[in-house]
Amino acid sequence: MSSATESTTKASEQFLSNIIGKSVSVKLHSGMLFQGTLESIDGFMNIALNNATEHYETAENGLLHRYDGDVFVRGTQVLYISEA
Amino acid sequence: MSAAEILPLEIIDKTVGQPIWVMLTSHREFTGTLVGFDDFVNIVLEDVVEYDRDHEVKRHAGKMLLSGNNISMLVPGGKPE
Amino acid sequence: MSESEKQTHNQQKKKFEGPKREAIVDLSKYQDEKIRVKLMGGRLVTGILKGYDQLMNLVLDETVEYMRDEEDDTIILKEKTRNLGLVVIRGTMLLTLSPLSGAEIISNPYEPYDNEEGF
Repeated sequence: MSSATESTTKASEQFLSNIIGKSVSVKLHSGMLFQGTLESIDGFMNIALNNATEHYETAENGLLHRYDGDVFVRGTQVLYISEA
Repeated sequence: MSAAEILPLEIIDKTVGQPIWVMLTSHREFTGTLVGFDDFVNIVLEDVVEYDRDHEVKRHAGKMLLSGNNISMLVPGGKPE
Repeated sequence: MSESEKQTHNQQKKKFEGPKREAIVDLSKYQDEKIRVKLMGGRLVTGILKGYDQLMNLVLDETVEYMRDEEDDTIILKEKTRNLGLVVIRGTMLLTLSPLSGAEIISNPYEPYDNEEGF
């Protein structure tokens, strides 16, 4: 493919490496929203979070659960991961 | 193949840096600035608005990696209004 | 590996790979024609085919999406549409593709009639 595509491929990989250790939001296909510190992420979008909270759809929707330790989220269920 | 033909991924590639409207198989939709995408058409967006049907769900200030798994349509130029 | 061994190996490899993947439908005949596309999840759009690739990703222009009933996703509201303009459709989500000419969306024939005689 074109060189432009190669540079944008880097953009998605760059995003993943840039957000490690930052505070992120992860939404699943079910609508569950997890917010916490990103411990790690792989190419399948498997995700490990630390100190995460769980809400439905938005953080304004009431706390469903607080995880003091790590939470592992399976990549197949991940709809998106975003900063803060 | 004729030379006049437009390649789908080429159009997405030309949209990088511009607004885009992404629709999933569900009623969920996202608009934002296209930062990039990969071979699976996983998409990185910036300044995202998330919709369910036409109702705004959430605004995301930073970047977002949207899984290509459930993306069904992409509209370069973003959502009207 | 002996020559005969190599041959059976190659045959097995061929069997494993299956037939060569060729497109069963030639989309070039719909180029610049109005087509109707159904997608996984129930979205339905019509538009003019402007381009496509090997993976059946499509480029449609003057695209119109048919909206569905808020309560029942299976009901397509043929009078409620929205204009999307130029869109790219993912081949992975494509369910059906057909030319629009000679086809129209009709009202549900199984819907009960309003009047008592049933007409």
